Amino acid sequence: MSQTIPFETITTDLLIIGGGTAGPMAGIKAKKKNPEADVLIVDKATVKRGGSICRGMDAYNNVTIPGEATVDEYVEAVDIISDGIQDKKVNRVLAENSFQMLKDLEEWGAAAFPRNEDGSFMVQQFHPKGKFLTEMRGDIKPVMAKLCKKLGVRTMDRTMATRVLTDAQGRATGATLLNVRTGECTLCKAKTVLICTGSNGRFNLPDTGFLFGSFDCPFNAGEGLSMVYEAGGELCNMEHHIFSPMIKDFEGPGHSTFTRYGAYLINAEGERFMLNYHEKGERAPSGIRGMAMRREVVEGRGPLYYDLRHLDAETVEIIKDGLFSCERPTEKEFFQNRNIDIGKDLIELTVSGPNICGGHGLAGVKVDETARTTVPNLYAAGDVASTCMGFVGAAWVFGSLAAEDAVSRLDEIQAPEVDEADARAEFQRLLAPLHRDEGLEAKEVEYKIRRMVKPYLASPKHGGRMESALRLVRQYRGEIDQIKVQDLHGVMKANEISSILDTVEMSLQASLFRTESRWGYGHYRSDFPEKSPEWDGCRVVVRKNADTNAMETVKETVA
Amino acid sequence: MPIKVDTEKCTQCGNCETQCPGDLIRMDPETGYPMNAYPDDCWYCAVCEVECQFDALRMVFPTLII
Ligand SMILES: Cc1cc2nc3c(=O)[nH]c(=O)nc-3n(C[C@H](O)[C@H](O)[C@H](O)COP(=O)(O)OP(=O)(O)OC[C@H]3O[C@@H](n4cnc5c(N)ncnc54)[C@H](O)[C@@H]3O)c2cc1C
Ligand code: SF4
Ligand code: SF4
Repeated sequence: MSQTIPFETITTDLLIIGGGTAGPMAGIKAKKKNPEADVLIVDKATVKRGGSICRGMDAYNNVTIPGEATVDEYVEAVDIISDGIQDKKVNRVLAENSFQMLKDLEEWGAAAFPRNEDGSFMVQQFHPKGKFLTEMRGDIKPVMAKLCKKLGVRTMDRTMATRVLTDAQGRATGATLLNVRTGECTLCKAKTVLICTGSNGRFNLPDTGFLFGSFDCPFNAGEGLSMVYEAGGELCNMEHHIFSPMIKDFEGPGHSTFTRYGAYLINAEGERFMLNYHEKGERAPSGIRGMAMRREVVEGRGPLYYDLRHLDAETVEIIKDGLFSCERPTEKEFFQNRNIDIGKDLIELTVSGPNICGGHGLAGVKVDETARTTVPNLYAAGDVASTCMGFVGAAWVFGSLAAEDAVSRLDEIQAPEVDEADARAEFQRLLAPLHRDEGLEAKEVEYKIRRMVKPYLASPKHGGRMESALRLVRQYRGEIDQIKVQDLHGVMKANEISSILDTVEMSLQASLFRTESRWGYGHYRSDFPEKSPEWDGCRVVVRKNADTNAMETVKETVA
Repeated sequence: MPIKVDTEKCTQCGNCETQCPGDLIRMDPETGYPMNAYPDDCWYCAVCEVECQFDALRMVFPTLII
């Protein structure tokens, strides 16, 4: 198709891509800091409901409440989970600012944080060390969306960002946008851009056998990771994979709620097996837990279960309240369908993974303590960024800090310059699948890419197998270029599939480069089975080589 | 399928269609009622159910999940 696609041009001071959790917080904080700033949130879903929280959330997992825990303890806890591969400055800032988020959310009426009878917060231990988790209730997003509106944050729903554009100096200057309902194309010129797109919920093929049956939000397909990469930014820890126990066939939340109230993980013999693998038992870092669970199954002691039968009735009621109200009616219905009473019956689980996420793991865009990426004027916050197990705290804290930093620098930033030919070429690429006479089915191409992840990229990883997978990646790139779609929903999907493949390739390259094993099954290589001191304190950075355009990996010390 | 609409209660307000985070729901041009146009892409998040103020919609689990 050679005909030129028409597009509209708009401008803003701060373009926020993704209106899930980090995005609306960023919008609100930007306007509160600088009411004159023009702030625009675009979301391919809606600001009212889009993103991970749409399935519900029952706890603020990582808040440092004065008197309950300290900033130092938080940084130490993340150090245990990340085995020293964290930017301590970033996590210090997270811990220092996390309680302010709680106060803000409570003041705005967006979330409620239940108290004990003595007025203290209902804190629980979830990390290997320290009590950073507090119960949270409420339907957060509609309140945040309303507040954005009240403060004059502009929003564009059903609008997918596809590329971050840069000027001759490599600075971010805007993005290309597609309305996935109307097909309208927009070039948005922006002085600053903040990526809050979440991570990639569609990485592996989940055990549910259902492409969208994943734990992480499947409507986030790694586009933020691709956009930063294509803009010349750096990503890190892409070799780190998450393995989590999930309710079998559901892949919904449960683990954090069950275990923080003292549920056991048991094997088919009724043994509380985690204690054989790690002193923290059920609270062991996720990669160790994943490895332990796999071994139990491989050695014939599966299936594995959550066991809540020893918990008192009051505790089971608190668990039900969290899971069945905040986590939406779906989980309740699932258990009802199966005749499972969670306080009385064993709950069969599956080992979900490998998954990639900055919120539940370590993989994502490399950012500093104000969420700046390595591309000037480009920020990233939330699950898309590598803050190390940042959960919802990272989304709120770094959404805030990025937005405040961006709108206080506007006077220093010149009017953004964009080469319109770049935008034109991008819209052409994007809409091509709609105009092909024939081609491949999007769903099948996605299935092929994701079915490759477990056999070729999951721990135990092996160099030879990963090299083979890279050959498949090249083949699948060609297949993506042949996808034919019927409508704009298909256009959105084709773009998502391209990002899914990018994420897989980044993870393969980083996994090959890290010639050691670390984080249990987080990154276990059978050809390099030991942890190497040469990799202590070092992370793998993935980026695009500016001269060759090829994906490259470098080793970097992380402070 | 994964949504079930009670046509007695549904006012065809379109809230479910507007808010589905996967953009899966469309108003059926023939009946005027919502339908899931892309049932294979449902995250069974129940936003559609929560957004219906008329108690007219039930999210139905995909067959592979139940
Ligand atoms: C089921 C579940 C339960 C959880 N429970 C808890 C909990 O109890 N406690 C806790 O601390 N954490 C929890 N988490 C983690 C927490 O929800 C996330 O860390 C956090 O919400 C991430 O926020 P985010 O803004 O980065 O991404 P999201 O909130 O997922 O938002 C991303 C947004 O970007 C949009 N988007 C994506 N790509 C594009 C694009 N190309 N263009 C435009 N828009 C785009 C999406 O539509 C979406 O709205 C849970 C996560 C899940 C999935
Ligand atoms: S359950 Fe969620 S994803 Fe499925 S149709 Fe309803 S709103 Fe959409
Ligand atoms: S939200 Fe409820 S009433 Fe409105 S269209 Fe959907 S099902 Fe019908």
